[in-house]
Amino acid sequence: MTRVSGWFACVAAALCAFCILGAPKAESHESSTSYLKLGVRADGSLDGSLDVGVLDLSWSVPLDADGDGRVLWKEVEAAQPGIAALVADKLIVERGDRRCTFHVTDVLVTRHVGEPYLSLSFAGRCEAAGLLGIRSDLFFGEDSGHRTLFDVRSPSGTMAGFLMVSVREWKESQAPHPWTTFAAFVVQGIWHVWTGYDHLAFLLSLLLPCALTAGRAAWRPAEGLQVVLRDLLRIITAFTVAHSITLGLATLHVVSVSARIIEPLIAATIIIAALLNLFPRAARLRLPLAFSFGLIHGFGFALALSELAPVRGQIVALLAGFNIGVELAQLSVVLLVAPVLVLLRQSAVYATRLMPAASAAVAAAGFIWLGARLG
Amino acid sequence: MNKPVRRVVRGGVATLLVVAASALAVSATAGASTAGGATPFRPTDPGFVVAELPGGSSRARDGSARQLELSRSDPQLAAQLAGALLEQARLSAQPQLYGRAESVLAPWIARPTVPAPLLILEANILQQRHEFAAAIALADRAIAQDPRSGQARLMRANVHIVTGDYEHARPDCAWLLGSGEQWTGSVCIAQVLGSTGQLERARALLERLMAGGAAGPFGQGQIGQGQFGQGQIGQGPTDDVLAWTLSVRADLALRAGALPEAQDMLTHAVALAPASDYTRLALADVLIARNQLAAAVNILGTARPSVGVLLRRAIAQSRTDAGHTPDSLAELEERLNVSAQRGERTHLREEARLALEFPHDAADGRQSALALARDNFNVQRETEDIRLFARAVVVTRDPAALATLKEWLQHSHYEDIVVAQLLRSGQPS
Repeated sequence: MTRVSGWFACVAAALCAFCILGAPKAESHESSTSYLKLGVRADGSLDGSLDVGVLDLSWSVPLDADGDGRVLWKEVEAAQPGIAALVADKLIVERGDRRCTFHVTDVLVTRHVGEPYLSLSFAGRCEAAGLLGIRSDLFFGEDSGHRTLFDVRSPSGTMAGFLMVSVREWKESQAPHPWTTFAAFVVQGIWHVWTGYDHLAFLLSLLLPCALTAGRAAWRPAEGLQVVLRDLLRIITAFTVAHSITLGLATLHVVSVSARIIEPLIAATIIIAALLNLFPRAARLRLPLAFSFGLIHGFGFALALSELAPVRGQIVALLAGFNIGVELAQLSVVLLVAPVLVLLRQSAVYATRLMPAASAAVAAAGFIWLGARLG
Repeated sequence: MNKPVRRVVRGGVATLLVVAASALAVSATAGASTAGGATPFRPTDPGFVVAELPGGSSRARDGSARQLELSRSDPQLAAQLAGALLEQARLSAQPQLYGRAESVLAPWIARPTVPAPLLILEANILQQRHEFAAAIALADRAIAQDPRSGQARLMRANVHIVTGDYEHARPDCAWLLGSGEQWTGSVCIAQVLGSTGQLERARALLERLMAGGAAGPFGQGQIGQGQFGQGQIGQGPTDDVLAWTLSVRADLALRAGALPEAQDMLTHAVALAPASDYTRLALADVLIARNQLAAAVNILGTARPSVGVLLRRAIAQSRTDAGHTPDSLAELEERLNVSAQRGERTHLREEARLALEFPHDAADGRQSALALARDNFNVQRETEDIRLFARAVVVTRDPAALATLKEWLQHSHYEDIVVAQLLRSGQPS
């Protein structure tokens, strides 16, 4: 028999072979979790809640006064001062490098993932300005598997994350100056249109007939530069206004639409807009369609924006920057394409051959994208 | 309002309505779950039971802070305390206690030299969290310190087996056999043989072992003389060790396609070690596979269900009552959600199986199931992990993943009738 020292035998007895052998096969379990919700307003007032597991708390605060193995509501009520003292001792909230003062205002019963929890409401006051910080020592010293999931609302936005035994602090990061954000997102907006072939294709299908006037059966050159420019202005304005509306609504989470719906819809708008160019009689639909389809493209811009940045604070700078970037890029396309169209409009080939051919090509590209996005 | 403007507004409103309606439809079907918990309330009855403390009494908690303090300077007390917490965690299904045990060990593990038993206990916790490489590193340190530590060898062998590294498990199993650990050594080596092209030999070995095995599986002396695993010298294996042996036998039987035999073995194992989640889940899986759904739900009826229990309950319930969303699905998704928010990836197996059993949408869902099953396969390679990867490979027909799986199967000579059937059915005709 292998010789074992006395205290090793002790451990061996506590840990039967099956525990060790079976351990890798045991189901992995999630350990204990606390949930911290915190709100700080511009005036510095603080409120929130901390949900802690009753089983976790029972190790730190005596909750079962009569020792019967059950925690009754009256026992929780009796333990409330102890619970409040523990939270005051272990949870620190800071703003502008100064500690916020707060106290537990209420204790309620709740559940998380099927386990009993106490929900501790608290309220207090912080500095009126500055970066927010949280530090928690609650349970980490006794339970290294513990995590505190936090969800923080402050005037600069909402943030979520977790604290763990090795990372017990979180501090709000210094937000860039709003103008920096604005400038960065102007560039992003320009870039998104220039590199986003589908928006270019849609814009092109709107622009192609701008230098033409619809006759009964055929397109003919528009009379005068003024007419061309007015048409351009109306179409581009309708598209711009519409996509600004939905970009704003989607970014502010008023409306949300899945990419799985919007991406194929955008491809469909390209097909429809391009195909309608083949029918001069449908020319009167161009303006309403520029507006309606603009609404759909706005959701597309919002998706692109949400991929660029998790929208937190500085929503105005971010949204305005991105939208202006998109408009600038559109304007650059118009400035490039419009002179060519104006020059080409007098040529009979343009109205009868070139414009329909280009529209058909754009529609074909739209079909390919539609197939790819539905597949 | 002039005509064109009216037209524009009308068209725009219509489009907006269509988009809004589809947005509502999407958000309704997505059923996004958050970990917000239930609405807090104030009980009106002072006698309202807020919680039942597992273990029956709060006495164990009394003085825990003092004991923790004392264990900082007493390695023997630290080992006792951590060991007791781990045992309690296992028996009462309180996963929080693993974290408490780790806190007892933490100040010791940070030191340059750590007593081997503490290293083994810490390794045990690490493998619970699927930190297999770190667990092996600690077992290596324990063995370097105490080359005759059978526990460290067993642990290291088992982690290697779980991760599919059978060749590294083999020497430790052989060491156990050579040092007189006949029973545990035999089960250890049977797992290696069973996964490296000698499935039938492994089954026969364990059958002989359990059939009496007085002469020992390799004819080396008497069983029942090991350092652990047996109750006392001269006695047979403990119930826990028997249950473990049966669960390994059942696993080998399943891979050979002998479901009824596996069911009998696992039923026996659950009776011997009722606190073991692992054997319970394995039995539930066999019952589900044999369409004995009521029995499966019954065996999963535990008070503190793990993620694995919830998943199997959901599967059994959805098959019993097709078209009805199982109750346990919401709780399961909430748990997985919290786990993700905690920054953990310890439920890859369950997530992969959930994605395969309850696909959200066609192509995307299949691809994410494959990604989960592949990530899981890269972490652990027990029977279920390999089967899940094979299932995901077959439904997605992903050539790269298929090549990865086939190469590993060929290289290890791993045998499983279910995996073989899946791959045959997935062959392009």
